[in-house]
Amino acid sequence: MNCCIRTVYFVPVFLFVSFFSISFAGNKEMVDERIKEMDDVNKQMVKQIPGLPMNGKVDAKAKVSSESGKIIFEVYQVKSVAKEANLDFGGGNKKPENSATTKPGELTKEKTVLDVSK
Amino acid sequence: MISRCFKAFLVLFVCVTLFAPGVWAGNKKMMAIMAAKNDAMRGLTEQVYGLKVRSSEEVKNMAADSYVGKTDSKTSATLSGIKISDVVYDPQQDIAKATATMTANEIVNIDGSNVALNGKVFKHVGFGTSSPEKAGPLKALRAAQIDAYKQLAQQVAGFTLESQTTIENYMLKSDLIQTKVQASLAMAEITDYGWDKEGDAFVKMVLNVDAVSAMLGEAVVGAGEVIEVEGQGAQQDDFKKAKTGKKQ
Repeated sequence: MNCCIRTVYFVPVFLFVSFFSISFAGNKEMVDERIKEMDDVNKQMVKQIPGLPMNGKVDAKAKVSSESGKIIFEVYQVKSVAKEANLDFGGGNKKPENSATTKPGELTKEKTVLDVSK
Repeated sequence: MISRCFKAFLVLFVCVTLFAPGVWAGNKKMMAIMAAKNDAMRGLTEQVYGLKVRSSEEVKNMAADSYVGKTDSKTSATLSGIKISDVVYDPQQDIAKATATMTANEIVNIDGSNVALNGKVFKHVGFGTSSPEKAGPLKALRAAQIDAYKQLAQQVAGFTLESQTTIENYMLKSDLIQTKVQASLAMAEITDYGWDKEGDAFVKMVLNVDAVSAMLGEAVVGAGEVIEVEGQGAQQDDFKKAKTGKKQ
């Protein structure tokens, strides 16, 4: 009798747990973890590039290998574009012809600093 | 006469109704066992002969729904002397399990190298089902296995990293990250596998670089290393809706 009551009680609980455990089985956590790993590796690689601008964009290609648990980056292509802000010394900056929407003090100029290709 | 015909028809109907499910169940069992045997033999071939792995990943602006990861594996070999044992079938889950075992002295692997195995025993456990709706855990396990192979390939052969990064006041922000790897692998051994309480699968794999070097009879990069990885596989794609929505 006791056994029957236990079974009656246990079956719905088991089904409930089984249903929810299956419905929660997704890849979100795995993807988040992998994205973080990729971001870490990318930042490590970019930090090794000499002459990084303070503000700008860096496009890079590297061969990544590991030896004795240490990650080795062999960067073989870098394109670095610096975003430079013109300093306002009170004399006022002249507005460039093609940047009508840009306010004084926020003028920007893009310049390729480094372009190394193997 | 009509009554006799009706009776005969009734008996036939009852027989078919009673015995047919039994016949189907037998077929399901055989199909599941056959699938498990094939899975076990494939795993053993990947382990002993080797496999080619090609993988690419991409993520934009660190957004999880933009992540695209794809890994292909390929193997093809004629192996003899594979023995199948420990065949178990669970009729409630419609899942079968089989173990493939092989002993060999020498083999030509996927790279065409002669490998001296010296009677080493190789073993691989495979699973199979005949019901697609029951295949979720098995698909997750295979995904975890392929993920482990990808990780091994990345560690053994290295990978290519391409990125676009924004720098603001020396702070880095990854805009686009792409990784690519292509490699041949052999002699990777599965040390553990299973499913967690959420139903996600894991596969732990080990590649003993020294053992591989000894078998090949030549030096291999990373001597003295035992590379251990853990692959993961899920039953459901949480980002399927987001990706489908974006395409539309």
